Amino acid sequence: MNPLQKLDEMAGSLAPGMSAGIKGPGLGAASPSMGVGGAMRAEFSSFLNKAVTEVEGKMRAAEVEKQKVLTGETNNLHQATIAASEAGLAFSLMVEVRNKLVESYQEMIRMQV
Amino acid sequence: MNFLTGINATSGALSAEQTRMDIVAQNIANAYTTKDIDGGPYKRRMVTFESTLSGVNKAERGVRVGKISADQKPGEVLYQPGHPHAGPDGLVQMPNVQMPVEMVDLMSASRAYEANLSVARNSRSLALKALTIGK
Repeated sequence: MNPLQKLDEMAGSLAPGMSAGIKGPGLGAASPSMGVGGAMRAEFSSFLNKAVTEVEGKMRAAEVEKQKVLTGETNNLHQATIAASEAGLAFSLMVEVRNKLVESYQEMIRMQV
Repeated sequence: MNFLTGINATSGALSAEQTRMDIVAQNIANAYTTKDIDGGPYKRRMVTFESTLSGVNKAERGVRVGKISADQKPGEVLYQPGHPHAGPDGLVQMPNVQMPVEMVDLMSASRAYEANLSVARNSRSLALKALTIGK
């Protein structure tokens, strides 16, 4: 299974729990909030998917530029390095977002019941 | 999603400066070429830049190489009767390439290249710094 998908589900299931806590105590409040969680999950998953696809696209573009330089098709060394650093930045942003998600999950786990 | 701000203009400028350096190299290489393809002595080439629209923002301007034109200034004339390209009067028309001018051009092109590289480096380090906001 895709680890990012797992993360995404985790984030989706964290949110309804929070809204249930705000609405009122007891288990009864948890069931109506499931619908909200589902909608949110779909939205978040599409957002995450888009972001990951974009990062992958940047990496592919950087790879193509690198190939072009190595095979002597162009001599634009700077374009290859710029594309590579852009891909690297996009990847670090993705990792940063993932770290934040894991951090919030762990924060939830540590919560006293 | 574009993290490196202004990178399009910088990338175009780097290419343009590279072309300028190529042309300087060509001029230096042909400093003593007395027979160009058109028959006469080599004429030094000059590069002109022009701005382009780059990116979605209408105010943003990139740069590209415009025209590479020949310098029509006459070069010096040497008296060398034995030279294969000498005229009947023994005079040889030399190219109009002047080494000091070419060296200064080379220096200015490479400094401009470096300046654009620091812009690229700077915008990358800014983006990296922005990533540390959440930490």
